[in-house]
Amino acid sequence: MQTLKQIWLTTLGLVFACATALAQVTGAGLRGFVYDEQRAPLAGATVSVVHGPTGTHYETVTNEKGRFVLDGLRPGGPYRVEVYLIGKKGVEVEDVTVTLGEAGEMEVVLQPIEVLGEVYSTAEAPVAPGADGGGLVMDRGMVESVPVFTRSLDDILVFVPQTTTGAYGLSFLASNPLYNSIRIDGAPTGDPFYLQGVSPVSLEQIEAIRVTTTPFDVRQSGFTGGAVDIVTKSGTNRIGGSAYTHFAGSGLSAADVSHSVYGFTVGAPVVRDRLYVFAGGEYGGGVLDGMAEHTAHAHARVDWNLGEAHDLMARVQYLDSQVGDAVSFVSRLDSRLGEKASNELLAGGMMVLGGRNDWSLTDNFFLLSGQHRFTFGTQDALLGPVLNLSAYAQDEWAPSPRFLLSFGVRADAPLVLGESAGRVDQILPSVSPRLGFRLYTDRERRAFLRGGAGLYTGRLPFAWLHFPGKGAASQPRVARANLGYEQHFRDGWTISVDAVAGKTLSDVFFEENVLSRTDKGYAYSAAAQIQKHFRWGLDLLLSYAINRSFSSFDAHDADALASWSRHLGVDPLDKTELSMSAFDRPQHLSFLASYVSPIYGICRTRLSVAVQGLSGQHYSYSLDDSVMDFNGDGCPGNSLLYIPTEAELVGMSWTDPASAAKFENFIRTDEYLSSHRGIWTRRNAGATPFETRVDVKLAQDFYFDKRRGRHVELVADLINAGNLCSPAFGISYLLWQRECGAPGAVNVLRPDGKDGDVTAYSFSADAVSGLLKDPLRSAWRCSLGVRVCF
Amino acid sequence: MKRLLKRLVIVAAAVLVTACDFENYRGRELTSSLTVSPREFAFETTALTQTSFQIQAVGDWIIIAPQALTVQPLYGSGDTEVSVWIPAAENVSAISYTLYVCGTDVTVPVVIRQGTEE
Repeated sequence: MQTLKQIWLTTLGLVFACATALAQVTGAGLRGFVYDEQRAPLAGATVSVVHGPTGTHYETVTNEKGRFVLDGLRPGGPYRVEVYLIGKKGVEVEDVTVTLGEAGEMEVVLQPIEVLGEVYSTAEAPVAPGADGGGLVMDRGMVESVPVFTRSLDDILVFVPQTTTGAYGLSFLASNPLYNSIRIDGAPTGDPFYLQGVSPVSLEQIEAIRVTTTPFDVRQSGFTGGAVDIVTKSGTNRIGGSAYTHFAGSGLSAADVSHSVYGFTVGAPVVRDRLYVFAGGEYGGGVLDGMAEHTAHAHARVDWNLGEAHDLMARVQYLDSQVGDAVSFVSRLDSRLGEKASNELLAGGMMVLGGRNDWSLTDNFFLLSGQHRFTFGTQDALLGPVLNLSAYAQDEWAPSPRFLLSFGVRADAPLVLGESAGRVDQILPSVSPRLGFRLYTDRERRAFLRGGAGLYTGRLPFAWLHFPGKGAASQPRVARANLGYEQHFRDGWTISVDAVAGKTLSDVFFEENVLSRTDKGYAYSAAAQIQKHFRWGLDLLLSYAINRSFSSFDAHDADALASWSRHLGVDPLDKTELSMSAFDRPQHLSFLASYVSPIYGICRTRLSVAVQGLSGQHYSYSLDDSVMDFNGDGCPGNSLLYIPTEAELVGMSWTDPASAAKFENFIRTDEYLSSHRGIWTRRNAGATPFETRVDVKLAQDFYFDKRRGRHVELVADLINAGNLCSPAFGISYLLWQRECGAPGAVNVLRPDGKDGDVTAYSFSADAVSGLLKDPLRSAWRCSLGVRVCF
Repeated sequence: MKRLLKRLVIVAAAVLVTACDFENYRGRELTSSLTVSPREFAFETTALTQTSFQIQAVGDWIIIAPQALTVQPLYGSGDTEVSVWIPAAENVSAISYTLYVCGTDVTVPVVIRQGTEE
């Protein structure tokens, strides 16, 4: 080791550049090229990587093209990287960190022993502010710096530019929240209708999060919204852990809130550098705006380095919430099979207590051959009554250090097991080709263009398979393309811009209780992001995105008939007309500034300020046809509104003239209605006002054993701080929830009559009441917490 | 760097304010203040009759009138003379119509009687 350090002092350099998109969804990687002083590839150079906290050792050798690839690294670090070859001066780099789902790219030049080296750039960890295909990678530091209230995963994910939240849940690219995929350590979290609205993992257990919307890796499937991959913490060589509690109650909030969280984590080595355990538990519960809720997580993970070539991970989790209980497990074996091949075997399962069980088995084989890195894999899953068989192949071709091209194809064959009359008995197979590229535009590889295109296949929620299909059913499918540019400046600033466009190939459409499909719909997104880490402790993240989505059916109900009867339309024979999606919230501004002093004594202060700005939620203007079925589709309560001109309005029959004036004012004061008089409204044409929220987090650490990082932390999270200054700030709105009819629609007019003959209209009480403020989200809320880290 | 940081904050604030202001639409409501004169008409004849009344307002208004009447104009803005054509009443000796001039939270009825009660 001493020799290597001496070599480092006299050796030659390396170039570190930005991360490359890697087909790693549960880990990180390191790859690159090794050259001699003439920049000729050096074959046989050893690349040795050691993970500091666990002592885990990874090693490989460059091939004839001087290329090396190391997969299966734990996200984060720090790592120590050594590159050496007989007759050359070696290179050693300390404090390297790698990012989840990305491969740190190294370009190493080994000089002859007698020549002094040249360092092209500092050996900083690769930084990846945006995952390929639009998204964000968040490390533990960011998770801890975000102000949170109930410690939900959604509180963190809102910082992804392509994310919007609303009445239906968390949406990516303004797509259906039911079509997202959330995987923890590579294992799916089950059917979206199970545990809906419940955070699938405690924030305290998260090591890193990666969100993508258009990944080019063929291994990633099962979504047409966003893919969220979470990696949990593991044990290390140090015995450590935390115990914490957070409390929010009366006097700490302007809303009716009483909520507490208690939890702990502990990690330890069983065999140093070999075997580690990590466990945690958390209970959170209370009353939020009159609604009782609780969530309990228990989690245990074992990491075992089986010699130099194999790493085994096993994790089991129990989740108890007000909507259900589930036990899940996942086990992964990463194997390095010589210098050119590696394998990843992953088995997972989720048992919803009293419900269905999901099982999955995945195997990926990687082969490095010259400029090519091949991936062959299979992913088989039994999801309720559906056995999904998948196979895929992919090639990542790196003809030069500045260019990477990946192309692959994936085939999915879902089989409905068993026979049951009156339900879906066949789901169409699908083939999903993918193509991605990354082109570095400068020698130091600090700037690059990235993009690609592909087909993505989601999963039909299990509940919908209970209904008969109109022919064979189809999984949700979209075609998406992405183009992005990312620049890492020398002074630490990073900017990225991403554009994503998608076309619906197949989406669910219910005709009464029959599962049918439609290909209408498209979405696009444009996002810009700026990140900066200041050495004096400040981190900035600013993003702005426009996310638009248009659809003909927004299924968000487990019951087909309810989805159909609540689907608004004018023509009862064709309710597939395209309109803005219910999940469309066009503008999303996100800002996070967090400060933590890099130099500190026994006290350390951390401060974060977060701003979220989001366009309002869409709703439809409807006729209150609870008395009569205005559009004649057999379902009252789902007729869209016609916007009369002034001349038409005064010519209508009214039960009360004041109703006419109120309706006229309603039209005049509404942007959409006032500019679309004389036509029928479209679905989701209305929108609640823009919402802005400012959150603050203040934490004070008191170290009682600074060397080991042991400290007590007092933390205060103030959510919607603007509302504390003025009741007019930070207002959020609810969508109308009607007793009869579609949610997310406001009854504007009530026609009285019989058999389709309207005798008189009256302005509806729903519209009179105006927008409904969300009593919880519109109020400032504060949570106080204590955490002991040992 | 400080200069860049300042610019960044200004841009962020400007985007936020612009976005908020751009999306929050405010339209023009009907007037909340209007007067009508005269507010009653009585015609002894049941034959086709034409009359008018004056609206004094500072903003927009609408009129909700029975289908039988022809009213011109039915909506407008500011001070306006409104003409009303009352059709000939058939098979009755007397008939009464009420039309309403409406603004925001203000509704002024205008009563028109035709013929005489027997």
